[in-house]
Amino acid sequence: MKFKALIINAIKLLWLEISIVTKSMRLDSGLSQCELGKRLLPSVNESTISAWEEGEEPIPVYQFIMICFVCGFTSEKKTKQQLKNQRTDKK
Amino acid sequence: MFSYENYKAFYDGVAFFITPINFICLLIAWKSINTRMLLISLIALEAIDTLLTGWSYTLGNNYHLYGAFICSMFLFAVVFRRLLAKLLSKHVKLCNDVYNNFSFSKQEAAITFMYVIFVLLHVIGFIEIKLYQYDIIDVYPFRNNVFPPSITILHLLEALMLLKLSIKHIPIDEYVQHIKSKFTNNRKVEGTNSYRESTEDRNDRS
Repeated sequence: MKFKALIINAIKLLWLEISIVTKSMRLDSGLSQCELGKRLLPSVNESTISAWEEGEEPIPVYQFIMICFVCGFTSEKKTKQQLKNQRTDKK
Repeated sequence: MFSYENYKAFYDGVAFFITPINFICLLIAWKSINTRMLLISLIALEAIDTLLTGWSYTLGNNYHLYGAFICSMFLFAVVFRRLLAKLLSKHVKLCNDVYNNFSFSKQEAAITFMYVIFVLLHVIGFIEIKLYQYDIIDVYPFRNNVFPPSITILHLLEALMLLKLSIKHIPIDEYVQHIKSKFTNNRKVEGTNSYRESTEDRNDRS
């Protein structure tokens, strides 16, 4: 029983690490939770992304791979353009 | 068409040039603590992989199993770097800094995706070889024509991503350096104050 509990705790710890990594990579790629959710296959809600990032729900492995692909290969020009648009909207 | 035997020199050259690229990236990105730790762990794993290369060829049909295992180790080193930093934080100062100021860039996300593809390619290659071994299929087209060029392209992409990561300016590292410089300046000020106090004491005594 102790061994089983240890394994469950280890898996929870790994999922938590994955959620921290997901949040960090999303912020670095300049995507909002809503935009990231739309780009995933199948697309998910903003609340689901939020729950994944907070570690409330475990991220499915295939969705984590998709997040890596979306965040890793997002063109930088587009995100810069989006930031400019956001700034002009604020003004 | 793209078999390993036809382009052996090119495939081997690309596979082995990733280690010098790692060292060059480490030199460029020395100031960035997160990138430095990532590259050190990648170089360590690369060294283990190079040491085990000779042994892995003796595995024969199970070579792809070894390939999948070592690629998953690389994947773990990238994704669970913070956990590794936490384990070593009491012994290594760099790990402590990384644990407190962790950041995961989009280039690292791309590298993670590439390692997942590496693992998948090795698993597919292993399944195909096993099917061939048990006489279920007569030829192995994936192992002959798809596996070597795709691995080479992924190696090239990985090298490009590492170079891009190393030249990237991460704001979190600026923050860490600012804290460190502030800390050292405070120590210097404290040192000069204590020196002044001691000289004043001496003057008073005299």
